[in-house]
Amino acid sequence: MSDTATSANSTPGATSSRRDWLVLGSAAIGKAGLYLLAGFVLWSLVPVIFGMTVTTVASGSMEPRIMTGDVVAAAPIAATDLREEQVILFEDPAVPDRLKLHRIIDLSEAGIETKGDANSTPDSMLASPESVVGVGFIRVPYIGVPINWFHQGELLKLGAFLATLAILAFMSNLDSDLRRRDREARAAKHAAAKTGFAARNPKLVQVGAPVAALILVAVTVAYVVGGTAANAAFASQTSSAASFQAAASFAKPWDQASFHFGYAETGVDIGAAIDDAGTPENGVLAGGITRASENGNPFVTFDGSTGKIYTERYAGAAPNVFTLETWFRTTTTAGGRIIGYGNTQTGSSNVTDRQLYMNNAGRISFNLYANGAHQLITTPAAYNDGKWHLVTATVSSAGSVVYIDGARVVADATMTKGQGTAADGYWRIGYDRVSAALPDAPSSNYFGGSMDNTSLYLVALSPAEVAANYSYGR
Amino acid sequence: MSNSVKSRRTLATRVARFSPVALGFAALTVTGLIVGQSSYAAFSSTTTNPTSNWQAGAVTLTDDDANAAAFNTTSLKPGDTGSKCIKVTATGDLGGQVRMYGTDHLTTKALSDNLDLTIAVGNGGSFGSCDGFVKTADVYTGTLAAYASARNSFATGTNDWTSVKNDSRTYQISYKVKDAAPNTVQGGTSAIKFAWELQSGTTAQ
Repeated sequence: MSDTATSANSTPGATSSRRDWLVLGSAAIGKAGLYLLAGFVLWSLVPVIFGMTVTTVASGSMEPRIMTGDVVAAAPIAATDLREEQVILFEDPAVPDRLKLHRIIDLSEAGIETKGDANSTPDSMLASPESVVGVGFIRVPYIGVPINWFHQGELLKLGAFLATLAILAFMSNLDSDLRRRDREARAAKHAAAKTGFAARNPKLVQVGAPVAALILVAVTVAYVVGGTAANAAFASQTSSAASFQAAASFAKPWDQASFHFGYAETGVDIGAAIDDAGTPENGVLAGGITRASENGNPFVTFDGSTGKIYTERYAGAAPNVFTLETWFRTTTTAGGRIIGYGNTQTGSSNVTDRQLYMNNAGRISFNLYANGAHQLITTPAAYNDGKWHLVTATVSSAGSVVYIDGARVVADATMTKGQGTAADGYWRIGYDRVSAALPDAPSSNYFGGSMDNTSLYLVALSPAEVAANYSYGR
Repeated sequence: MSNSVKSRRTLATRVARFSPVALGFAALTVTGLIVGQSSYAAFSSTTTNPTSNWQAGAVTLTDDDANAAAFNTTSLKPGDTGSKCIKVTATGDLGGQVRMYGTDHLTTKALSDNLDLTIAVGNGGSFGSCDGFVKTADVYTGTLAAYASARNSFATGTNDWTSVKNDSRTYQISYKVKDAAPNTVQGGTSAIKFAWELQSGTTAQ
């Protein structure tokens, strides 16, 4: 009998035994690591056999009970079996082609209201029962984390994971020598062991287990990577309410006017060409007068020396029941005739009254000439302050009233009619003669400033109507 | 056969032979228990809802209207206009698409068909004043009625803002009552809730 070198590891001794246990321990760690992984993977795959849908959770709005990277198996469920508090996997109504894993918080005819546990508000869109893929049944924690890394391109982390797998596989094989020795020892005693499968295919047995584990992992990865991830999207909403109400009446102040100029045209014509037919609804800008606009609201500006508007002939006797109204804005200190009646169309009339004019002090006067004498009412305050004001003068059998900005300012109950006229006349805007006999006749007959919404009514507006015209605005 | 002493069975070698089976059985049991426990914890409805403490990674969208209405306008007549700016801010670690849409729309006498709506997005300005607002994109032009029917959920909302992380945009909402609004619209009403929503992980559509 001769001892050979191979007998070194059969020599009983403390050193080799300790080394054996070290090897055994390392191999056990490797095997355990791989088998645990394989076990989790198995639990992820088995549900597929039972018809469940397996997905990887890609985001964290169901945390902390379902974490990003978990693999969740959802069991098919009838719509009538859905209950509140269930976690369901469903087609996301907010984002097509995406599955969502959220909790049911309300069921109603309108749909299923869902919410992520970590979201502060429910999902803004309801889900339909037909979109439910399944109810959460099995959760395999974190096993899908490498799959998420793959989807997100985290190749460094994925590489580290695969390297760890390779190390575990290597470690798990460290005890192959021990196993071979055990087999040989048994073979010496039992013939079966010598001729059994393991004896005839030692290499196969050696690598079998870890390879099987790795194949299992590969199959699962392929299955889940090919499938759709479940999204648990974080969401947040904020909102602001808006309410609108239309006025009870869209009537414009000048719906009942005889003529009204809003100055929305371009060019010198107001309305159509002058034809002297019917009411004087058309006019012409003449002299130094320009169109302008503020915030999309058009108006005209007179230069105070040559600008005026002339209109079509007013047929018949001048009226004694009427209203003159216009918005104006000026800073002039030379006054000017704003609007009134005259017997000429464009020049300086000798029959002029029924007129609103501004005097040099900036106050507004209204004048009628009756029974051979001038009658005059003047506002106490001045309005040449560069701001838009509405002036309205009404004449009727009850007298004359001047309103500024919708409020009555000055009146005279005895001013009930103007100069009688036998022939036709004209309504003059921006210029005509203001009689020098008037105590506050302005230095300039031409009005320098802006006007808008200039109107003649053949009725005397009531105070309420004048106030409404003012609040309607320019 | 006498010169090959071969191996001897030691405790280590016996363990080595049975360890795969034992470890496999143990792994199956352990993983099964873990999966069973985590499934129960995740999907049973008996445990309390831990939402109030969870903060990490969450994203929050807020606006600067201090719960005031964007518009509360009455006595509207044809041609009337108005405009309001609202600053919307996203705070948190996550980015995603912020989409705007309208909900809870109600109207009487077809006022919404006669309200033209213009929405723009940009930077600058705030709920107090649109001064300093610089537009970067048009969001919507059309009637309020068409907006409410076309843009009424996150899936159909307009999306002109991809939030990256902790950023904000200002939206300018303007309205005009159509000049040609007929008298049948008198006294009509319109109500809508303008909503902004961020969903993490979404991209422009």
